Amino acid sequence: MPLQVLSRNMGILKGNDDMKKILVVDNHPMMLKFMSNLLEKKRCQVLTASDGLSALEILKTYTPDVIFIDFVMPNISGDKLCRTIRSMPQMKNVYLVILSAIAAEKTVDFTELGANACIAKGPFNKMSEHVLDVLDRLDQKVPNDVAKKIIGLEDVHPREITK
Amino acid sequence: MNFKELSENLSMEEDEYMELIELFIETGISDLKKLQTAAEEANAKKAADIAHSFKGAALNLGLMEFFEIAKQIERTAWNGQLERTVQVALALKEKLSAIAGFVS
Repeated sequence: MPLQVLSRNMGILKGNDDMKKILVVDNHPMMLKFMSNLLEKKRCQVLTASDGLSALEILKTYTPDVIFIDFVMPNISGDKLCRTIRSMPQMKNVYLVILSAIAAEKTVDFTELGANACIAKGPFNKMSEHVLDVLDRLDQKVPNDVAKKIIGLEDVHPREITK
Repeated sequence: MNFKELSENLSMEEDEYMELIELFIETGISDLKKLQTAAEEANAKKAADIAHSFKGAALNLGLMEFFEIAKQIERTAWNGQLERTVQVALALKEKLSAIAGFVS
């Protein structure tokens, strides 16, 4: 399945070199489709992986500008994947963004994981705004310390998240 | 279920929304089967994690009725009420199958 996703998207890699290169890692096919649609509309090159192992396989030959990582995934969790990616010399400048549905439930120190930003998963219209804001911030080279709060937490009311 | 209104609420084209709904249903039916198995095997954490994923996807799409039911499943799983977890999961699977008929 991950290889099918890779080959389906390989054509995009032939695009303009100025395009932002993005990898999205999430175990939910709907989230991968949503992120691909959103980012391809913004003329980004997008590869997707449905788990951490597939993501690491892709990263052997692909160095993205930005990686969006789901926090809760089977096999390799998002926090472990962040640390692993950050420890790879060729990935030291990659911009890591955690996508988290549990941000409203427990404290996540995403900077400690080596991530640059964390977006709370919520309604897709809100998520779109936050994902595109993060890309704009990257373009404007806004320092990371401006982005230490979890983005979009206000869109996920505490009553909506229970554990 | 008014998909046009739901897509408008999320500022999305209806076609794109329907594409995402189809993935939500397909993944949801498969995940709820796994959730049922996990609950029957007394694996509360796995059942709760699957319910959590379903709940997040429902919130993404603005499907608040599904969101609330998944929240209930997640809570019962964490509380170890696994028989109740299976009952509610089966009811949710029926609801999901019902909207699958509208989508296909």
